[in-house]
Amino acid sequence: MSSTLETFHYDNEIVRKFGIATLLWGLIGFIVGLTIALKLIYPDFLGFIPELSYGRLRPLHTNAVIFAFAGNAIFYGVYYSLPRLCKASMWSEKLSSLHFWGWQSIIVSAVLTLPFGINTSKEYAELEWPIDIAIALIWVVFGINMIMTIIKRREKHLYVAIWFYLATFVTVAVLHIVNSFEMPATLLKSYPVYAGVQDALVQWWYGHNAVAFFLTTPFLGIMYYFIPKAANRPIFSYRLSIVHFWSLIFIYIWAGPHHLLYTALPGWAQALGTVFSLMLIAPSWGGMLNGLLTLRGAWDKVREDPVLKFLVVGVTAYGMVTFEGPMLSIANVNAIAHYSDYIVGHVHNGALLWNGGLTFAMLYYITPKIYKTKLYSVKLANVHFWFATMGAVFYVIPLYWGGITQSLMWKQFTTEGLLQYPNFLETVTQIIPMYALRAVGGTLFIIGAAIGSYNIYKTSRQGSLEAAEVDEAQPIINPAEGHKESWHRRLESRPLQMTVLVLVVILIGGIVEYVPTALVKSNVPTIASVKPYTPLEIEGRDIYISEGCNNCHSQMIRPFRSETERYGEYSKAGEFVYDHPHLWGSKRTGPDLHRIGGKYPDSWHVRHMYDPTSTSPGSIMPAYPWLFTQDMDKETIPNRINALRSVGVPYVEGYEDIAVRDLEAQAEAITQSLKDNGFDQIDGIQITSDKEIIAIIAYMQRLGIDIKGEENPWENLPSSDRIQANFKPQQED
Amino acid sequence: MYKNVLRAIEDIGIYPSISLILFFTFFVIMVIYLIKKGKHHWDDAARLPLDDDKMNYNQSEQ
Repeated sequence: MSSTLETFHYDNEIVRKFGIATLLWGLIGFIVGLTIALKLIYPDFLGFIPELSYGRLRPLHTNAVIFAFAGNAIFYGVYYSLPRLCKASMWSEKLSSLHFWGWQSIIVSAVLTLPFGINTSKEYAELEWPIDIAIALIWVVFGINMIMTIIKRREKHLYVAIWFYLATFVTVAVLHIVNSFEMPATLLKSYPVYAGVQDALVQWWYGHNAVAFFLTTPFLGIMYYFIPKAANRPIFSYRLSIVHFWSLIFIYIWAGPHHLLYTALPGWAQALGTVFSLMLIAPSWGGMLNGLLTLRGAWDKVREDPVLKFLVVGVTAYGMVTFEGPMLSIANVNAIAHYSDYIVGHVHNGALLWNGGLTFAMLYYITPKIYKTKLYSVKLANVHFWFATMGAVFYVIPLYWGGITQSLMWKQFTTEGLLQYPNFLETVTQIIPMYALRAVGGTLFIIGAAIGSYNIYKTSRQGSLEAAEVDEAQPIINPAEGHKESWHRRLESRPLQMTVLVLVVILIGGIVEYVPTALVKSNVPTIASVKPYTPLEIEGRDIYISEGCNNCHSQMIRPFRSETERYGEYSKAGEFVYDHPHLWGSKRTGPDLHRIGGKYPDSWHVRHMYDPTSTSPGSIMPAYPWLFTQDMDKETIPNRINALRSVGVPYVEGYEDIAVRDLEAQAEAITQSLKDNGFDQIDGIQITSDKEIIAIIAYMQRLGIDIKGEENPWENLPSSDRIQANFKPQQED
Repeated sequence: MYKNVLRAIEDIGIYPSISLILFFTFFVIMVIYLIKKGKHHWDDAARLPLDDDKMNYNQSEQ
């Protein structure tokens, strides 16, 4: 033992806190998931309460499992492994604590906004702008604490897990900031600076890489730390981990456009997305094999140790999902799988087994360690393992089956060349048994998680927390030592250079792919007849966003005969130039709505929104009775017009002052025409011109009609002249 | 519509090519480097997670 040995401690208290938060939010997130799964089978489950409607709860579910469950799990793993790999305490316990409470407050603010209809509609980035700012700040707190810990470390070499943690920090920061450029209209409402195609590209560049750098890279770091720990042997190949790391972070960032195949996104961007997605198989499988092969000669341990069981199933699921992902990026496969429940099955394969598996493995590994005891019951952990695995199987397979069935029904033609199932609803009712099986799977998974939580709770009760675990190590005496080492070895002991290089690598993909679409205006051909939304339509669109309609309805008709037959003319990039944000959607639990305008009379929408089964027997869409009693928000219309103008919608300066007059005139006209058709009330509720339903109808009837050039929605409004003067339509080249 | 977009950005075809060449070069250099360094170059690094605490996980087997 050297005389320079320094004593320090590991903060197990913060690890414990993140562990508790992981379990608690996990259970809540899973239960919200089960709730919405049940709503697809029994639409009237829990009644028709706005705060508990499907469209508002689905973002709550996805945000809870991604950012609350997996998020806390990431921090749980990092705060445990990072100090141990660095042989140092976390740099600042104050920052650790600020990080913990800050992150929990963000989650609470999500719970307090999403069910109340406050959301941006952008998938996995639904939280509104003040929360976005808080996320950025807390993320920086985490980053500073992590990087400073690494700088103050006593172990010269940075282990591969730390590279993945660094890549996570840097990339999520970039993704979050770029995707959150938005113009606040009010305290809780904003519009993205991007519109239409550009907004979609940025959103899926973000969405895809949220999966990559929030649900993959940190968990790979966790894999590289905990598999060797649990198997008690070093990783299979450190060289492979180097290839794995750099290839993965380089390639992943490009693959986003595979979420937009066959949409109005420029073809070259789609092609790039596909090619890079296919290339992604190599590093993903390299990493998976590296994890699994670490267990060579130790497979007997997998039989007995629940930690290894969860790790092995987790890494195997990772292998399945990362094979499936590239396959789904091939255009022909994507044509069938996209918009269907297959994708929901695909992500749950990853979420339940990969993220869930690694998280529970960590919980079973760390809890006995920091409580200085043994696991309360290995038997219960094994029971949990089987519930989790079977739960995932029962979840995923029915959705694969149902998704493909439904998609093939959408595309089926009769011998006469007509759609075999022209009624969308037929394709929904067909797969309801699959939705039921999925709910069974989800229930099994939740039972398992509850058993696991009990086991972990009992483990903590039988031991006592070693809040500050003492360790000792020599400081790095000569940091300049090793100058003659090879370049990558040198890089591995230089955290800042490593971080900068990671940033450069991920920016290459971002810049080459995204800048041309974002900056080259002519990239989106404008269509002269496409006009901005009227104030009433803005209100309707904001209600559409608020209710989360985009969670079940797309607004993007792909150029397939099966879609143009069903929905009408396919969607063009130029139709979305005033769409802040885009509402293309990613899943069709209900039909596409891009050409819904003019398809049905206003009265149809009244009946349908009040009780969907009255117009569509067997529909699983929830009823929206509150739209008939809640007043529209006219007060903030001027703020919203202002905000939209500042992101580029050509409303005339000063229009905000008279916009409400236009809104009221249009609302009055719709209400009057409803009255003329005998719809002055429904079920005893008077339909008046100040209710939300009128705005929704205005928006619905506007969707997709501009391109026909037959109707000018501004024509009959009091200020139509002023708005017209400001249009500067570009010529399509 | 794709044709319009492709016409709008000059030499758009070069973007995917540049990125592919970039990555391919990077990848090849890295693999050559790793092969040259040999299998045992990183043995100490690979053992880092195992050295980081005194108590081993599977104590019964030690």
